[in-house]
Amino acid sequence: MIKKITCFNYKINLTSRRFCYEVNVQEYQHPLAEAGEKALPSKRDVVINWEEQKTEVEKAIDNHIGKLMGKNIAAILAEKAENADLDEVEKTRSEYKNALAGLKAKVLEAIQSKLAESNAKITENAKQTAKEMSDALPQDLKMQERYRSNLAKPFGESDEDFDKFMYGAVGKFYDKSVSLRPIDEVIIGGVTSFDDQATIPYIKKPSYIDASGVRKEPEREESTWSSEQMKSALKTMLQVIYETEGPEAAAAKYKDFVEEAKKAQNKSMTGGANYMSFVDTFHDGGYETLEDGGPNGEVLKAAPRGSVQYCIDQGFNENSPDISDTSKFTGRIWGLMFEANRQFKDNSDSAGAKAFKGYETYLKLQEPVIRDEKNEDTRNAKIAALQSPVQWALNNAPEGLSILEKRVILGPESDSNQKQWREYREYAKTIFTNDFVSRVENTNLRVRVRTILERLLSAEEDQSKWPDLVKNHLANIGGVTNKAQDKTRIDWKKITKLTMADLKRFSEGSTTTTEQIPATGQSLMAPAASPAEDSASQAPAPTVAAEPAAAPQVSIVSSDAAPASVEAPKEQVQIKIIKEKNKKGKFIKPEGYKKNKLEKTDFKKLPKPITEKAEELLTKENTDKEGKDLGYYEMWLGKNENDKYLVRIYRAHTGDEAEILYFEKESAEAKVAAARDSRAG
Amino acid sequence: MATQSTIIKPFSIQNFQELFYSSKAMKYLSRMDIQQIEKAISEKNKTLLMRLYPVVIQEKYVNDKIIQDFIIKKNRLLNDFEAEGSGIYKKYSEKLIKNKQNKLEQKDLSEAENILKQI
Repeated sequence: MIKKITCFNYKINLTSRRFCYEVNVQEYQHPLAEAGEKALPSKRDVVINWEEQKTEVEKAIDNHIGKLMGKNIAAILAEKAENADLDEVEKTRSEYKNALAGLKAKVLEAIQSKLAESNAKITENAKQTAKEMSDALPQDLKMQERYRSNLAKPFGESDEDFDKFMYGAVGKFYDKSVSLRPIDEVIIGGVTSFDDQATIPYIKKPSYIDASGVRKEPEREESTWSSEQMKSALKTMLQVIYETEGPEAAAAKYKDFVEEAKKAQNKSMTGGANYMSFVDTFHDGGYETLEDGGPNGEVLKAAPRGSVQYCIDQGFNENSPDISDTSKFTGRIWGLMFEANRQFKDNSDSAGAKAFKGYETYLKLQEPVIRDEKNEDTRNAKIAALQSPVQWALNNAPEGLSILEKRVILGPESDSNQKQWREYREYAKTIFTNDFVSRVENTNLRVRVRTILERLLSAEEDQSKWPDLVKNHLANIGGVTNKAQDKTRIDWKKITKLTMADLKRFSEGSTTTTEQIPATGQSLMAPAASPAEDSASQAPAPTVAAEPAAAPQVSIVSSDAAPASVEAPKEQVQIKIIKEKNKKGKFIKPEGYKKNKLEKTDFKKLPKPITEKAEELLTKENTDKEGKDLGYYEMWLGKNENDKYLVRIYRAHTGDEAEILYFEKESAEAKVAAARDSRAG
Repeated sequence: MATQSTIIKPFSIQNFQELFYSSKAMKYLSRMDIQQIEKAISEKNKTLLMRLYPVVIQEKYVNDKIIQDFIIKKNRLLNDFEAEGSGIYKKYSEKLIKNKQNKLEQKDLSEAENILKQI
């Protein structure tokens, strides 16, 4: 608990000639504490305030000096009365006054020193408390947070590995003779200044407590860092901040670095060059996750991948006479190269990586062309026209690049590559569909299979789920044929003999042509496709099936029980009843859950009370108190433990359950089946 | 000298909250840790908060002790000052007296010499 010493009253007891004190220690409570708000740490820097102490102590000392001087004056007056040597008296008086002033300074210094010691102890106490509190917190939650991004991977998978890495790295900041300080001291040190002489940025080393318990500041010479040290230190610090304080704090620190670098580059080229190196290191070290993580990741979104360009734009502009256009261009090249290295660093043997090899050549060819361009506008235009590695690799990928390799090239989905991801999904869907369709014997049926597949795959963006999705679909269909439309019959029985391995291989994208796919069974294989058939199989999917598919009907079955009593019509689409909930009460989406999702048209055909309630939910303001959009609702059909049918209404984005509406199964079956029927038709 | 002692209040979320938000240790906790503790406060997770309560109490106790020690040390220094100040006063008072005595003695000596000369 912080105590704020609010009042020190000193009384001079002339009888005992001793100081007495009345100390009123008022318990200090931060004004925000009661409101449950967090106080800013900076407000808590000083516990015993020297300025307050100094005023009070000086006052007490001055009072006493005044008394002593008064007595002295009395003696002087007595001397004067006796016609003593006044010069001599004045001289003595002056000496006396100086002696008391010296004593006062000595006492003040001693008290200040004690105060500093006390504050240092309080600080140590706070650090120890923080450590104990941190240790007392559940470690598993902290670990989850720590590993929630891929950034944790360089540290290894275990907590021990992480600590070893972190303390090992932080240890570099200290002399071996000094024990490791808590990590946040390093962070507090930060980039504090730039050395005017050597123009090498340095990080202030943290103060430390020596063997006698006195806090000491490190020598300045120790604080000057080499370029390599600086890069390593900044990198480590950002990592540590990211891990300990989260992406927001790391982003803020990164922003500070940018500001510091701007100052540095204004001073000299050397500082700027070092900063460039740092940024290279930063982005080459896998820190792009900062851009993706955290609600305030937008700070770094200003520095997208290849963000050396950002640094150039921000810090190395045309107003910086020391930075030549060559540097500007080179920086751009660096940015692209670092981005490319990161994309492929773990996949050096992939076809994508091999494809990218050409990109280096491309850059090397472009470099002299751009550099020799005299016209600045043209040169800038050429620089701007340099393609990103991802774009280049996608555009120039060799034949047969698989879906997986395309995905490697793309990297994680982010705001910046939405377009590429959309294109990729279409590509993946085409590959998968083409492979699958090629197994269908009848060319006409291929069109229908393609339509069905595309409908299925469009409903599920996660391609890893496609094999199961198709498998479930085939299992549900169960090889039932529609005799009325015998011409368009699909031999589902044959197709269902496809193994999961086959399906998975399709989902990963075959790098072979259709003709090269090995047979998995005679019944599955189409005869050697004629050119006409082949072109049909590769043709873009028609938006409408050549012949209308048999209208699937709906029956409702429990996921853990036999089908419901309603007899399943032929070629039906079965809906699994969804019961699973996780511990937090949130809905777990099962495989193929989208089949259970009800469309608005379905909903309107449900019993009236349910329809009314649902419409009320759907039309009401779907925002939180701050006006933030909570997303749309989804309505899913389910069944509770008592076999009572229900409609669950969820927030589609969060999975939070908004409402459960119950109804009788007869009405549900009829209405929903009719809805499905009409939609499918 | 007025004395003070650490008043240990029984555990309650309100008491924990007051101690926690006034704790200097907050400055040294990671953001993640603070978020975890704040979450525990908002969820009224007494199990976790009771585990943390002795830690913040301990900090308060130690801080009170440090402040108390400082006050004692400061008082000692002020008392020493008072004693030394009196010593200085005494020294310079005696100097004045001694000067006066010297002058008187000098005067006496001069007068004695004059008398001797007259004799």
